[in-house]
Amino acid sequence: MPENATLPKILRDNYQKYGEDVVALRKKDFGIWQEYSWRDYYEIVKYFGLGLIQIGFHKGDVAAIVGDTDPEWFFAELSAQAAGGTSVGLFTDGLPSELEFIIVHSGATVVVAKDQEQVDKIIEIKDRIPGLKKIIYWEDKGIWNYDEPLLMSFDEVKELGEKLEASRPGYFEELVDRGNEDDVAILSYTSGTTGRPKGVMLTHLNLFHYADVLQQLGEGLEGKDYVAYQSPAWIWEQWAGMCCGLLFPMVVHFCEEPETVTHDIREIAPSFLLLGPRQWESFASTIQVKIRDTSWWKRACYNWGMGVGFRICDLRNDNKVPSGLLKAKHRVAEMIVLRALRDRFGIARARFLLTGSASMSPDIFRFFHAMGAFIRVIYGGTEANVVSGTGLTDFDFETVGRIFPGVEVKISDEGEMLVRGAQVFRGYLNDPEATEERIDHEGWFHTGDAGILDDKNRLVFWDRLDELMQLAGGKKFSPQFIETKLRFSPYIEDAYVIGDRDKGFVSAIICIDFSNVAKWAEDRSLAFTTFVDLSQKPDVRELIKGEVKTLNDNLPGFARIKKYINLHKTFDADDAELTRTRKLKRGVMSQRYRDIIEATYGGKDAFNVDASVTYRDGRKGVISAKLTINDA
Amino acid sequence: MPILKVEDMSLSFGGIIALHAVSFEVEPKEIFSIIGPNGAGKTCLLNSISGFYKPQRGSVYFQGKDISRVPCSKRAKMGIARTFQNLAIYGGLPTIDNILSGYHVFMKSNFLSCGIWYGLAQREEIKYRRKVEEIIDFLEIASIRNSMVGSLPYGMRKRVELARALALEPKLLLLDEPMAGMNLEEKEDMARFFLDVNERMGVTLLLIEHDMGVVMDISDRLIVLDFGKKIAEGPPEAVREDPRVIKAYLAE
Repeated sequence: MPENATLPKILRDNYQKYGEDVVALRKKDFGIWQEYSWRDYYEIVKYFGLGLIQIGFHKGDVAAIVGDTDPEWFFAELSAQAAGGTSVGLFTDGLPSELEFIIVHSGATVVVAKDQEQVDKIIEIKDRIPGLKKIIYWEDKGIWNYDEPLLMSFDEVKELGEKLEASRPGYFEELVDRGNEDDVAILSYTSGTTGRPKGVMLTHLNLFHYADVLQQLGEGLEGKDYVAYQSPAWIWEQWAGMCCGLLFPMVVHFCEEPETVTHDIREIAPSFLLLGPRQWESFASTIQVKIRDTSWWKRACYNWGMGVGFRICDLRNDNKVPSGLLKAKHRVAEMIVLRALRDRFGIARARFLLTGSASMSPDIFRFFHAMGAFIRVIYGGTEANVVSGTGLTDFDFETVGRIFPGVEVKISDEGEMLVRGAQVFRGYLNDPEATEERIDHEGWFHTGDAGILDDKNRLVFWDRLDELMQLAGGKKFSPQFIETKLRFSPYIEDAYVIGDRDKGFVSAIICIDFSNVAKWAEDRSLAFTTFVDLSQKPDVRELIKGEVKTLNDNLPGFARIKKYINLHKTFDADDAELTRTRKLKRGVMSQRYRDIIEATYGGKDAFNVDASVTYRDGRKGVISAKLTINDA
Repeated sequence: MPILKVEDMSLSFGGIIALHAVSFEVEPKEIFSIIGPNGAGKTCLLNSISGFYKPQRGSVYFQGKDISRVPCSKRAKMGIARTFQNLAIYGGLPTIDNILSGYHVFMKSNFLSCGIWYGLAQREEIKYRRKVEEIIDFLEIASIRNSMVGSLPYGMRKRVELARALALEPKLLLLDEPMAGMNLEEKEDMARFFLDVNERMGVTLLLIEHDMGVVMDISDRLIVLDFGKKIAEGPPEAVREDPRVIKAYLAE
């Protein structure tokens, strides 16, 4: 790592080292993977950065970026940093009011938005953004006839930059030289499972920590293929796609459209793939459902091959050596089933498969490991940065691995994990009180996560501290742990588990996975009309009961689900039930479903709902239905 | 000069009069609709413009030229494309090939050179394949690029048909009930694509619709047919208020 490095400096180093000869980025456009060399990459960042200065973006200013994961996203961020500013990423599905909060709070004066959909949202709130200078878009579709003086295209800004370069050659290089590793590089807004999102200030040094750690793991990803598929508004994509992409460097690929992702990943067969736990879960359910649909012959092959995979996987985890016969079987299984499965999902060449952020069910790990796709977990968060991760040799699905060098971890008396080190964030933007609350005088960051260090010095993550629940009997249990296990079922999309001190037992609110359950119902010639209707069918309730029973068999008695209800809808971020990264907001949920919960614990056997729902365009509607409360 | 002019057109099948002395003009870059209740003669009118039917009386002018005697296929080459009320696409071919088939009228390579895919055939296919990709990008159907069209949902198939019509690089696009059988969301998507085609590609749209809803929102002007006669013409607001139109739709 070079001295006093910043992201734009690394970009310039790569440009000087590789120039036109090496591909830096690929974006699928018009059905073909279009290439950007390091020279293209650097020059676009340079001219766009100079263009930003021309429209009045100064040192210390903030540029907000919102759009699908495209090269322009990366260009805009690096340009803003090179010009001495900071970038803040926004999620594309955010409502105008959510975008407004972050834009105003971060003090952004330039908004870079991909397309008409995002531009419309920004135009709607533009009068409430103080000092807004320009709205820059990179896809002009549908914006052709807009008559909005604030609008400017990405290319127009770049042209302004080219003019500035002609009159002041060398100016951009000077600006890049002025950057310091301690400058705030990005603002990342926490998903906010509680309260309003907070702006986490992250320096270049903070961002490099992750790439450093991966390099120490010795993965040898230099020059390998990576698919950037998450939104760079999510810190994990910043760490992986942006920072590792520049530092290793890797060839970063951008998918054609959000709908073509699976296909594009298969075409690239990346060496490094980062997915959120929910995405791995949905991968697993897709496989399970498709296998149920296929011919009996293929299903038999699959069952046999995966069976062998599971046995090998379990032996490996117990540090036992499989017998010669099993090894031979595994080689055959690998040939006819496992390799084909991995290929189907584009992970045939993957050396580094990763999940981050929220916790993932051990069943999912076991499933993929049996398939020969060694997903690893890295534990961390926006503020604490990455703390620990699993290696390949000492894998245990129940832990989140060993603590990385340079990171200090301490478990407080309350059972909270405290983290200290150079990688920890610099504080919340404009919120010194919140910063003080989370970072104590000794420099320990209070993660709010509950966990322990096991006898092999590996970290075990339980749950968020304030979500860890205590039953009436005094037994502690983690609702999130049960929820992730429930979601392993292809028929369950989401679950909310309840069972606090004042309740006698554990219960669950379950959202069925509509497409999979609908398929299941069709196969059995079961007629249904809507989501509500399907979810309350006696057969479907039996189906879910079976899934809950399987789960209960693996849980200690006190944590077993006694009652559950199939909800009439799915949880939705637009209803503020989930964060944009699909984590449950328990505070909101306990309010919203208070009546259902009361009915469950009040011994009733059904409940009538008249629920309000918020549609995409902000309209509100009402759904009424009769929900049956089931005994597990 | 109007891009399309229909003058005094009458069409009858035996004793049944389908169209009776219909005249109207469509200006370039306009979205022009023909609406009317079931059996009003809308599709007959469209078929007469595309050359599929031969009206007994009246003439059709395209860009100032009388095309009443020009056969269907030539009209397509002149820049009149259409979509059908009942889909007419190749279900057993992928989306790409369906769209590419629209470019067929422009291709010069023959059976033999296409068979060995050499020289002109190769160059032509590369050239038109690029154009196909531009349409795919425009209509946002990249995710179904290689899917068999027959297995796609209805709304998507409609979009493929529109894509193929665009491959004819039309100046005038005739759309026969393009939104029939769609749900509201699909209709809104489709309406947005029509506006894009009109604004960006500068294609004049002639739309036939049975349902007044969406059409009223996107049309610049429209005419209303009832039992083969034109009963109203004008911008949507005016037509909506017209007592004759209300009567035709609501009957007595």
